[in-house]
Amino acid sequence: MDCSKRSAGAVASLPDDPLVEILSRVPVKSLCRFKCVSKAWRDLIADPLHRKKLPQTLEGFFFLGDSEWSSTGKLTYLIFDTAASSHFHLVQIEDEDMIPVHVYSSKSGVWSPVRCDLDDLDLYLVPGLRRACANGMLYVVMSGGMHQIAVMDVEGNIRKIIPVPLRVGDEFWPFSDYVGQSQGHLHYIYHLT
Amino acid sequence: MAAADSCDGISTSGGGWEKTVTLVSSDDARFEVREAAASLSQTVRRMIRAGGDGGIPLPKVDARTLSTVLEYCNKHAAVPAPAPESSSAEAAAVDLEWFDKELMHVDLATLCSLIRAADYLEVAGLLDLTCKTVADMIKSKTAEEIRQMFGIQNDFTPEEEEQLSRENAGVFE
Repeated sequence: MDCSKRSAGAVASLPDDPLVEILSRVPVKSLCRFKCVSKAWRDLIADPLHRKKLPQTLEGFFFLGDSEWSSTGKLTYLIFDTAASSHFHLVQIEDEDMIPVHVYSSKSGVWSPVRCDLDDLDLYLVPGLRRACANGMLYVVMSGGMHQIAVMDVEGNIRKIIPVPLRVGDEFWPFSDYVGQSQGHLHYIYHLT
Repeated sequence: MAAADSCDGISTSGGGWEKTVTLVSSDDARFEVREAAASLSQTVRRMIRAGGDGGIPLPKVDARTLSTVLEYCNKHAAVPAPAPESSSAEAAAVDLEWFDKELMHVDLATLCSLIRAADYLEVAGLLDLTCKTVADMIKSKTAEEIRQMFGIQNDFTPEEEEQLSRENAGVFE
């Protein structure tokens, strides 16, 4: 069966769909190894569209940490995405410190501070557990001029701010909201008082 | 093979009158096939319904590949559905399994042509069989072996590659 030399180039032209079909039938460990084949293979494996099919059902693991804002003044979030990296990261946000963010990487094994300019962005954190992890990014609901979702990378840097779509002219704050991840997409639900 | 309208050919194989269709490969070879077998391809099934004269053109499949695909379709469409748990059902399943195994004794290039054809023709069983076969061939290979097998250029910089392998040396090793 090993006729690899003669077949060079044959699979390179396989369309994505059949290639995903093949990759969906190899073990997770092989799939992780195959991310190193080429950028095309890495992107194909990491593509959220293919997550359902590929054997990487582990989206995260249960994390017990400081989740009560009032007791410790800090919140710790877990970022773990097997498609992006086999390492996990923790992002800890403190409410009083001028350096509000510390990050931990399972690769380096150390906590390090991140200068995160929340003041410049006119943002402050909403206490609670309203955050989600998608595509290796952390999405945290924040409050400031209006409710917004801060998109943080594993280094604790705010990469993007997504405004929450309040109705024009509406003076009510969202009464309750929820942010979550499903099949690689971010979902946000809120309702007004 | 005689030219025939795509949907009104007849043959006597199997002792009865069966409807056949003519499939035309990219290199203009004509295959007359029982409709029941050809219909294992969802693409062909749709084209049969749409009608048309002079055979069903399949411009993405060459004669050599199409002939293997049809070998698969003929075999799988021929299997009757006997009462489950009967000895003949068991024998038929074993026979079919053996047939599939033999059909997959081809090189990687041929397998890839079959995968492309099965994907285009939408023959679900054959797509599953060929993808499984390739998956078994590659699952224990290293990234470099995969590149060699498939003629893929390593387009990572040495730094990127080092970072990737460091990441992979994590929780899964």
